[in-house]
Amino acid sequence: MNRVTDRGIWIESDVPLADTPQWSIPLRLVKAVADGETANLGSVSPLLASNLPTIRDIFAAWIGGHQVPLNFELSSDVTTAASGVSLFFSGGVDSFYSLIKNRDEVDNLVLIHGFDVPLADTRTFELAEAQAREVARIFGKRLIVVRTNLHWEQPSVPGGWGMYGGAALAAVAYALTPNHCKVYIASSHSYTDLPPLGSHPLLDPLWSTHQVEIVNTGIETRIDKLRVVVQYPEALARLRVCWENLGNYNCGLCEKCIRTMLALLALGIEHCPAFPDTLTPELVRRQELHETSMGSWRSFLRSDLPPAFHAAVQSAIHSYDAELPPRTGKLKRGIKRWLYAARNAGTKLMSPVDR
Amino acid sequence: MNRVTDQGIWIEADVPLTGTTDWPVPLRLLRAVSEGEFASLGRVSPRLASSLETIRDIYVAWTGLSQIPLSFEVSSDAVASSGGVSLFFSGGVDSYYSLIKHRDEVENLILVHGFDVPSADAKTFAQAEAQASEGARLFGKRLIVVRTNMRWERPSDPPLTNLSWECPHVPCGWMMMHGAAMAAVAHALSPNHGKVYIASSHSYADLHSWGSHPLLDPLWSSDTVQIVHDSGETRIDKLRAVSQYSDALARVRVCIESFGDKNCGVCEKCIRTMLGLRALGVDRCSAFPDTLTPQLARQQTLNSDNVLHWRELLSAGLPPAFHAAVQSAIHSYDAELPPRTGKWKREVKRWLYAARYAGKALMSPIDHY
Repeated sequence: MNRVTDRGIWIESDVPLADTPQWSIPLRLVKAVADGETANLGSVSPLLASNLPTIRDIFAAWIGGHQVPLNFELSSDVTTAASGVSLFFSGGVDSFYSLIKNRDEVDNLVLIHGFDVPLADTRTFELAEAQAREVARIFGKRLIVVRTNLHWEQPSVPGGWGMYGGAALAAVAYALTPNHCKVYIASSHSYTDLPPLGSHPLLDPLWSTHQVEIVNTGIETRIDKLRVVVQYPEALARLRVCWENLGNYNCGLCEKCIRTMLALLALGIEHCPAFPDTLTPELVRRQELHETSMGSWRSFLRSDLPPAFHAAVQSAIHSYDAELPPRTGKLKRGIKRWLYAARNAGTKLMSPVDR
Repeated sequence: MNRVTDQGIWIEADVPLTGTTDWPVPLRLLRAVSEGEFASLGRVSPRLASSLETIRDIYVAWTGLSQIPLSFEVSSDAVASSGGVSLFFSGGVDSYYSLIKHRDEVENLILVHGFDVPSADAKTFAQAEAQASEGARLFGKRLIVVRTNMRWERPSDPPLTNLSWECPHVPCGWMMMHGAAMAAVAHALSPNHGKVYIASSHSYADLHSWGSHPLLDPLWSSDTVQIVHDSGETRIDKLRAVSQYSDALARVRVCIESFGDKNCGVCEKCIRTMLGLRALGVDRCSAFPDTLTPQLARQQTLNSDNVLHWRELLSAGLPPAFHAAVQSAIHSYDAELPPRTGKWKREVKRWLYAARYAGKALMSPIDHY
C-alpha cells in the first residue's frame, strides 16, 4: 500500500502514487480562499499556474471567499507524463454514462473509499468495490481503488463537501499522476442547470497540469444519460446511486433513488435489478425536493411517464414551488399544508409594505 | 477599406482582414442551431473544430432548440498566429476595467459599428468613436474600427428611437448571439492579433445563460486566435478600479438607451452605474447628468439579468437613503410587484398584485394532481 500525506490528510492506494507535495495544491488553495489567508502553494506546473488566479476568483465568488494572494514558484519539473486515461467511477448514472461514452479511451476506473462511503463502513464499500470490479472486468478496464480521509478531514468551507469535493477529486488525480495523463470527471449536472459546485465544467479543466489533463465529461441531462446506460443491461444491473448507505445497494426510498427509478420508468423500464421494487406514485408525491435536483424533476414533465406517476411528479414540484410540505395523504399533513398556505398568503398580502 | 463577406454578412475595417476560413463559423453555427437545420460550416481550423460540438450542445441546452448534426472539414492550412493582443471596447465599465487590468498587454481596442449602434446611425457612432479614440489615446493603444451588418442586417430594422435588444432575424437573439458575433469579428481580424479579450458583463457568482460566457467564449478560440473571457470581479469592484482613472471615468459610456456621447442618466444601467459610483464616494461624474435620486432608484423595474448587480450594491456602503431605495427595488423584484413610484395609483396596483398572489398562495394546497 502506497500513501501520500499532507497536514493530516492522506491518500493511499495499491498503485504508485506521486512523491511530490503538489498533489495537495487544490486543497490548500480552496482552504486559503475560504480563510482569507495567502495561499502557499509551493512549486506549481506552469499550465496550472496560468489558471490559478481564475480558479481563485471562481471560488472566491462561489463561496463568498477572498481573492487572496497566491504564493508559488513555477515548477521546472520536466518529468514526462505517464500514459493512460482514468475516469472517477462511483458506479452511478454519471459514471456509467461517461464510461460508455469514453469507453475506447479510458484505461482505469478510479473508485474512492472515503468520499460517499465513510471509511468506517467497510461493508458497504466491499459491496461497491465488488460491483465496480465486475464492471471493470466487463468493460476490460483496470480498477484503481483509493482510500482517503479527505472527506472527513475537510476544512470548514462554505458550501461544504459540494464545494470542496471538486478540489478533492483534483487532489486524487494529482496523487495518481504515475498512472495517467488524463482524468475524466463525470458531470452531475447538464448545461441547462449548472449551479456553482466544486466540480463544474468551468472549473475542472482549470486544474489541468502538464502531466495530468482534467476533463469534465458528460454534460447531458440525466434522462439522456440513462437512455444510453439502459442499452447495457450488465451496467444497469450494477448502478449504485444511493447515498443513504442503508446496507442495501440502493435503498429505493431516498430522493436520488426515486429520481433514478422515475427516469428508468420514463424510458419504459419498470423493473431494474439494481433497485428494490418500491416505486409508487404515493412515494413520488411525498418527496421533498431541493433546488439542486429541480432540473431533473422538471425534465420528467416532458417525458413519457405513466399518467399516475406524471401527476405525482407534478404534485411534488407544485409543493416545492408553492413552498408547501409535500402531500402524504395523511390528515395531519393536509392540515399542515393549509397552515403553511395561510402563512404564505399572509406574507404575500403584506408584501407591498417594505419599509 | 478591407471587407470579408459570407452569405450576405460582411465585416469591414481599415486594418488587414483574414485569410482563414474560421471567421464565419460562429455565425453559420448559430444560424443552423436557430433554424434547426443541418449545418455546413465549411473549413474549420483544428482547435475550433474540436470545440464545435460542445458549443452546439451548450446553445441547444440554453435555447431549448433541437439538436442538429454538424458538417465541417478540418482545415490543414497552418496559419501562423500574429502577435498582438486586442480587447473589445465599447467604452463601458467592463471595457475600461479590462483595459486597465491588461494595460501592459493590450495593444488594440476594437470598436464595432453594428453591434450596439445600428449600422445606419452614423451620427451616434461618430460620437462613440470620438470617445473611444480618446480612450485609446489616453492609454496609448491603437483603435481598430470595424463595421458589420451581422446584427442590423435588414433595412427594415427598427430605428434607433425604438431600439430593441432582440432583433427578430438574429439567430438565437442578440442576447445569445453577441459572444459568437465577437468571435466572428476576432477571427476576421486575425492578422492583427493572437489573443483577444472579451470583457465579461457578469461575475462568476452570476453564470446564467448568456451569449458571452466564461464557458463559451474560450471555446471559440482557434489555433491562430485565442479568445479570453475576462471575468472575476463584480461590477462594483470594476468601478472602483476605473474610478482611480479620472480621465477614463469621464469617458465611460454605459447607456443602452442612447448610444451617443452622453449617458441618459435615467435608464436602469445608468442608474446602477451611478449608484455604484455613489457607493464609492464619487458624487459627481462628468460622464453622467445629475439625475440620481433615491426616488429614481426605487422605481426601477429589475430583471433576472441585472438583479445580482443590484444585490451587490447592498454591501457597497451606499448612503442610507439610496441603500433603502435599492432594497425597495430589489424587494419589488423578489415579491413580483411593480416598483414604487410614490404615486397613489401605483400603490393601489401593488396591493392588487399582492392580493392576487395571496389568493393564489392561500389556495395552493389544492393542486388537482
